Amino acid sequence: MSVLKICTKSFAASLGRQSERSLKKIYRISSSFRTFSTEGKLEYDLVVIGGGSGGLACAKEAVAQGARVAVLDYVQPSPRSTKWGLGGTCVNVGCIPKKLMHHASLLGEAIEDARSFGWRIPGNAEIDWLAMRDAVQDHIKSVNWVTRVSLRDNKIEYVNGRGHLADANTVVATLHNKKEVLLKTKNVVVAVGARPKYSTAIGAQELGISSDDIFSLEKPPGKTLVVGGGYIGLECAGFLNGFGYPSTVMLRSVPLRGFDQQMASMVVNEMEGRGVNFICKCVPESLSKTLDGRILVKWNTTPGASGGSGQGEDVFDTVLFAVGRKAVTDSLALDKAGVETHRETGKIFTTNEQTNVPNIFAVGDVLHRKPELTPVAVQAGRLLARRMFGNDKTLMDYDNVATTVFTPLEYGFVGLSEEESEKRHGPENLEVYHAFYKPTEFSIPQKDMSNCYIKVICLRKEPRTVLGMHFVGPNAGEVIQGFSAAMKCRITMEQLLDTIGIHPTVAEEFTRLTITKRSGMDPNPQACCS
Amino acid sequence: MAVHQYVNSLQELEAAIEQFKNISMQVSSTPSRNENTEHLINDFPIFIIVSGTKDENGVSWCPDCEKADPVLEEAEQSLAPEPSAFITVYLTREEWKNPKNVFRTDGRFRLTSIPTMLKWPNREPKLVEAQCADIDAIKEFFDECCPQDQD
Repeated sequence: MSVLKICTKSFAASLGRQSERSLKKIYRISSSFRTFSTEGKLEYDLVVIGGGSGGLACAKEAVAQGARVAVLDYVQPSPRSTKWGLGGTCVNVGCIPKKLMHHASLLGEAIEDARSFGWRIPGNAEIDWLAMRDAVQDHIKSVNWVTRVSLRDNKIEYVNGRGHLADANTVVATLHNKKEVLLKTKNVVVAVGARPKYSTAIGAQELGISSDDIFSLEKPPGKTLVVGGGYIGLECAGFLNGFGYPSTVMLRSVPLRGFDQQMASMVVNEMEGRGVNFICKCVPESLSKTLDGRILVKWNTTPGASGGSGQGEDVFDTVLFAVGRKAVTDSLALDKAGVETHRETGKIFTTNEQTNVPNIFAVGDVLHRKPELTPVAVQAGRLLARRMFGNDKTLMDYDNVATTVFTPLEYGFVGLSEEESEKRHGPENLEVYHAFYKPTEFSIPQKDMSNCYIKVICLRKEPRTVLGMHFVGPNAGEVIQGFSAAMKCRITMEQLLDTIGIHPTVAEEFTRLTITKRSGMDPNPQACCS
Repeated sequence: MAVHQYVNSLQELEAAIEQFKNISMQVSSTPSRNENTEHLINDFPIFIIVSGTKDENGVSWCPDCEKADPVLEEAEQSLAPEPSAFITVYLTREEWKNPKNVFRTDGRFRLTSIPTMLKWPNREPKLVEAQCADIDAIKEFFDECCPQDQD
């Protein structure tokens, strides 16, 4: 290697250069806080801790209402040392990369289906993990950058530092170089979200990964064990399996706990049909490294459970823990202001996003008992800012929020599960319409349609208000979205059945429902257009 | 401070990148008052600026490139990470307007406008058009590309 000495005009006497360089370093630090006084204190109307979906939406709306706003964002590296940029979980390690990888996985399937439609496709399609990962990460970086530019354009002060409270009106930001900046503020919004939990099994933290790491994994995951049957675990196992990596899901209890269990079982059936292995009612006990660098996992029946797959062990290349997420409130020093949080989950108790301390608020995944969804955080953040700085008094409506689980065959729904409907109204007051259906495009490639199923729950008494709509099938998110607007308008069963469908689609099945569970009739489709 | 090469084609760009990858930069620093240490740095960021050629008066055919020029020079002197390397690719108007130009089509670039500055080999984040003449945007860009872990 040749050595290139930097000889520029300004590279004059060494000592003089050194002091100028140290001056430059100070310039670089202080210039990013050019509006701070030398004591580092400044008055804001609002400091938002957390630059994710909720925090940014709140900050932008607050600025639009004339407030002076600063946003703090900081990513504590995962146990695997994974870090990411501005934008929060959704952009970096959540919705966006998840949907992209889910889509990439389905494309592999589409290539195979294409043959039956007459496409001549030579050879077998294989995923190049690194190429796919790079494409996804590229997109994420562009969003990080656009987000950053957008904050600047909106004149929001962005501080890349870890925030904590000194008191109810003072937020301390600790920067990467350990320097602390004090921000005096009239109001605080906590929007720090949550991070994955790890199981307590021996070796879990040392050898396992989480959703924080999977989307930027440096090497193909190989044979993978996903611990956890929530939507994160199922979605990850789903796309990994679709890429061709042998996947296993270990469930402690039931899949998609808290969701409609009949629909959850359809989702799991579909995944099993596609080759995902399920280990039921078990928890991992230990992880250890094998001689050839793989991971030996030993598991046993969940304490207190009966049945299930029972004790066992196997060797995997990757173990992904998706056993729940914990709110990142421990390091916020919320007690310095007296903010009350849930002892176990760390989540914050709020009423209309206000904590027990009048000038401290919270939005997003950090809230106790609210849906952990980006659009929920965004809407709540926006409405909160309008109430704080504008004249709009509208409160956030957390009911009838549509959502979709992006498993290989997707599950979308809005409203109540059948279990919740029964709990609130009693089964005798409900009517449940249901049907299996056959997507037109599935016939030619002979795809499995046995889990293509929809269900609508409504009140039995007039005006038969629809309580919940559930759909398992392709493009579930697109199918359900429009219906959530209908639910907001309190659509009745009559109005739904009076709606004329678009043909041929899968969404139109909602307008063709005739069979109720109560009738006991066969919900399987007879013919196409009858 | 940084080292800068100027090229006119993709081949020349690739050669310049190769060259930068094979050198070390000797950087002097004085962590404490009387010590003067020099160390070799092998791994430094390489920034690529794609711009428009200048005529005999030194004026570019591309107005945004013209505006960006002095700002980028200032940024290189005072804001760029130390050390770092810069390569400016100059394209003629005909070259750039051609929809098949390699900097538009090549997967490593996929440029839609010039001037564009990016950090090799990442397509994102990047500075485009007026952002290249905005010293604050450039500062954010360096911050985003090369986050300082310790200082």
